[in-house]
Amino acid sequence: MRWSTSTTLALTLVVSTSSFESRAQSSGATGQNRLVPQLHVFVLPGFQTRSPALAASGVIALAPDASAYWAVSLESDTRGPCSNGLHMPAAPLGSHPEASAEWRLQATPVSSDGEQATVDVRWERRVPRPGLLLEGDLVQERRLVLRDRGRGILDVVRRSGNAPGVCDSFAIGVELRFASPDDVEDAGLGYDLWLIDRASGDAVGRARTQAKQGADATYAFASQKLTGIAGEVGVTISGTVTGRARNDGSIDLTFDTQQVVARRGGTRGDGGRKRMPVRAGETIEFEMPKALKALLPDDLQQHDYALRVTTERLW
Amino acid sequence: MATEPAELFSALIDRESVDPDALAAALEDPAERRALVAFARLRQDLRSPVAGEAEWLATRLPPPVGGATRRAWWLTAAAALLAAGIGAGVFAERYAAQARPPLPTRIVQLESVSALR
Repeated sequence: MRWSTSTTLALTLVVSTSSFESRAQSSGATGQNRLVPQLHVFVLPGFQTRSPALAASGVIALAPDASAYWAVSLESDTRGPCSNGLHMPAAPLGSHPEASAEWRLQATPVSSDGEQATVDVRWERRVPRPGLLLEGDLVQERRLVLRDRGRGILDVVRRSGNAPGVCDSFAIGVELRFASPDDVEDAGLGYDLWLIDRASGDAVGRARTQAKQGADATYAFASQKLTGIAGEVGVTISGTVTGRARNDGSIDLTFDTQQVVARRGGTRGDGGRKRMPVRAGETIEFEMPKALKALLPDDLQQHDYALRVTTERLW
Repeated sequence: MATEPAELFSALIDRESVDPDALAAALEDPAERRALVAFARLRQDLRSPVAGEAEWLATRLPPPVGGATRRAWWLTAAAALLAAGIGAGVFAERYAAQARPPLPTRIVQLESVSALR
């Protein structure tokens, strides 16, 4: 099964099933939402990939009805260096003797509360042709506790010397996302963001961004230059916002922000996150967590930044 | 070129070119001369004003062309000024609205990512 086929099938299963819904649902003015965790399996071949393209990844629906699809198999370098394939249901190891490495990954859901899911992951790596890679065969199991949109690398193999036809490195990773049968199939969402400095009450920056249903939209503000006792300090705020429009007209919003404070001697950074339902056109002001406020020098901590975000349904 | 006497006279009165010899031959006949005189009288009657015509025209005819153009110009200028005023008002309102952020309906504290790890 190709990437696109497996993705479509898995998403269909996610949308059609409702028996592994989260119990602790998002509450608010917009009502209940049935959430189903899904595990995206992605690859990072070589050093040319900008970021994992989840649109081309395999999706494991962590729902009992989809247990036949809790396992996927992957292989590397079958059609040239850094080429890759993914199969759902999983093909048995040994199906691709021409690959530099094969993996079989099995995910078993343990629990989910709508904000995070616990998943037992077992993966088996097989290297059919010894000498091509620095690594050999492997079997590992881990219990992962993943928050919504949490991602990480599970395994990586590296080319041995100048072995021909083999990618420099090849990593496989996973990301957890929640989906819901209450989500609309296709939507466009626009975000109007204002950076407010509460010290003055002024808006010191504005950014607009947009993305399709469930896709990440990035935003960034121009660096704020502050002058303190120890000299100039630069504050850069950027992040990602993701929305999922629901059939009832509300939007499930996941808001992430990253603050980096640059001053003489180095930089310090931290992030904040919130996931919540909003109404189309509603404006939410997000206060920075204390950990981010603490990044500023003591004499500049009156600069209390907040982000005001209006979410609009574009289509 | 007309040759029949009636056609000759009609063409002559309409200031068209006629054959002088044919005209001279036609005028030799007294009946044709009376016909030419009748043509001239008819043309005169057609061009003379009818009683009351001047008064009727004064009340029914549209105003002179130059006046209409001036009035249309004024109307156009007034409409343009009105549209520009409305446009400027809308622009000013929108600019003012865009220059400040909307008021929030809710204020929410972000959770620290480092605390989530």
